[in-house]
Amino acid sequence: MQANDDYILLLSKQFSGDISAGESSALRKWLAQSPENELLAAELRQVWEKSGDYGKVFSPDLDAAFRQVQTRINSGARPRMKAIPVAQRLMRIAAALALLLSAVWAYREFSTPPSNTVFSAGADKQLVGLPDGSQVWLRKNGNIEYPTRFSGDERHVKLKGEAYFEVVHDPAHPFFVDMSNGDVVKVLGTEFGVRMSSSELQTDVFVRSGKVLFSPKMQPGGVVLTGRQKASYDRASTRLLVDKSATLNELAWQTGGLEFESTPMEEVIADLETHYKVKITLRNASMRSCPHTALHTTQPIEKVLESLALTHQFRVSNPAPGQYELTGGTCQ
Amino acid sequence: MNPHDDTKEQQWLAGLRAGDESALRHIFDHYYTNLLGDIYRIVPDEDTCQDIAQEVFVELWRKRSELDIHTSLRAYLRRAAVNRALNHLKTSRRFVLDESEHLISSADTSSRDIRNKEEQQTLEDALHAAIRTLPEKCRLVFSLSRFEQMSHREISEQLGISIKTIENQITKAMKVLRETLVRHSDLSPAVIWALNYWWGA
Repeated sequence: MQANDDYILLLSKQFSGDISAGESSALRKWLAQSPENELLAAELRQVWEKSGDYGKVFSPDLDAAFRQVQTRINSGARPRMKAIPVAQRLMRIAAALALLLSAVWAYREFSTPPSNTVFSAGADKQLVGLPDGSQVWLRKNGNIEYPTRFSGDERHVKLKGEAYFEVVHDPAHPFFVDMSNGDVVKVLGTEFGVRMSSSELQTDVFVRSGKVLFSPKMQPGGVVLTGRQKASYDRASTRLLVDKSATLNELAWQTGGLEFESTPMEEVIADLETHYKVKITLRNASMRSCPHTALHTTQPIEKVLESLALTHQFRVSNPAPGQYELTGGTCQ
Repeated sequence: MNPHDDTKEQQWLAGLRAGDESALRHIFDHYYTNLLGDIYRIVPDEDTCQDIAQEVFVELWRKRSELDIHTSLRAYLRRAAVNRALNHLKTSRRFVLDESEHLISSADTSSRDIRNKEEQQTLEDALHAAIRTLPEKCRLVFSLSRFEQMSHREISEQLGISIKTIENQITKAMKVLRETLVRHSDLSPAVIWALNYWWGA
């Protein structure tokens, strides 16, 4: 079923009329491949059509409801505020304070042009909209500084920590991420992630699509990265490593899914451990290099291991909370 | 010219612009119930639905002099209600920025209950019940695509989550609903017959 996921998505796009010509022809090819595919498509079409009047039928007391509308109009009341939990309220105040302080600081530091600084202290991830329409997902404990309006020929933001960028394409105004350790990433318009270790010694760049120039401070010239590539620069060893077929699972915090393409089982397990913060032991040493291909969407770890077990005939046990063991297994 | 022109609607709107509260009442009587249903798909809480729907009319009244409606009044109100419902989600909870799925799918945990009930249900009822038990984000993304005809890009902008996540959630919803269909078909030979008939087997 996993292998059909892409086509299930294409079918849903077809039903909603949001499908491109290329996708549509891929879908037709797939449908022609087997009667099972056609059956699956028929089932999904039924699902789509028969779910159409989902909802709830209300039979409100119109007089009473309209009186409430009148009351609201006459009192000039703003929409009723929902009670906000104290923790959340404190966080809002903290965020407001942080923003205020940083604004004061930023004002003194660079009185022209004005800039914003966003810290993601509380949330796991914070979405920041830049003035050019680009979007940044700032990971916990990071901060980003950007001007309230980009001026001049270049767009610059300052980053500390880890963030994922979707940059609006504008070749006339290249986009730069200036890291607080001096490394620079130059972009033309693309989707990518940047991470600096807390020691500021290592910088990693992951590119999902588009083209990026990564210039470590100590290595002038830098390296050009395109889709599905990853580069790591380590200041201690002054080494720049480029992985040309990265799985990009280090971006899973932003995308919400892990994907593997002929990835050795050892790496699959390491990625799962990092993403789900669990410990997984692979008992069968001969499985370590077995290639695994799958897209695991935002499922709980139990589901992911279940599908892994099904593909490779593992047995899964859970000896302690957060610990899993895979035994047996055959590599096909 | 507006292709959705409708004399009755135009009269109400003209009354509204002139500050006639009875025009508001006509519009309210005509659309309030439908709006509750629209909002319910996004925020499945009856009190909140009433609250949001009433605000839509309060806002309609407040903005009466500057109204600029290019669609049917129904479509305009529905869009206003949907936007308000999405805003409600954004401001009232951690929803927007949290892309991780902490909750184990409630569809998984309750599927046994659903299965027992399915025998007396029509396929539509079974599908509706399955939609209701989808995890929140999954249900929301599916609903916006299925019922509000929003493109993935638009949903992404509205919710502040990535296209990839949206695609994953829609795929997930389709798979869960297909399982419901298959289970339901197992129980009802008529559906299998209909399917075979439809596909000329």
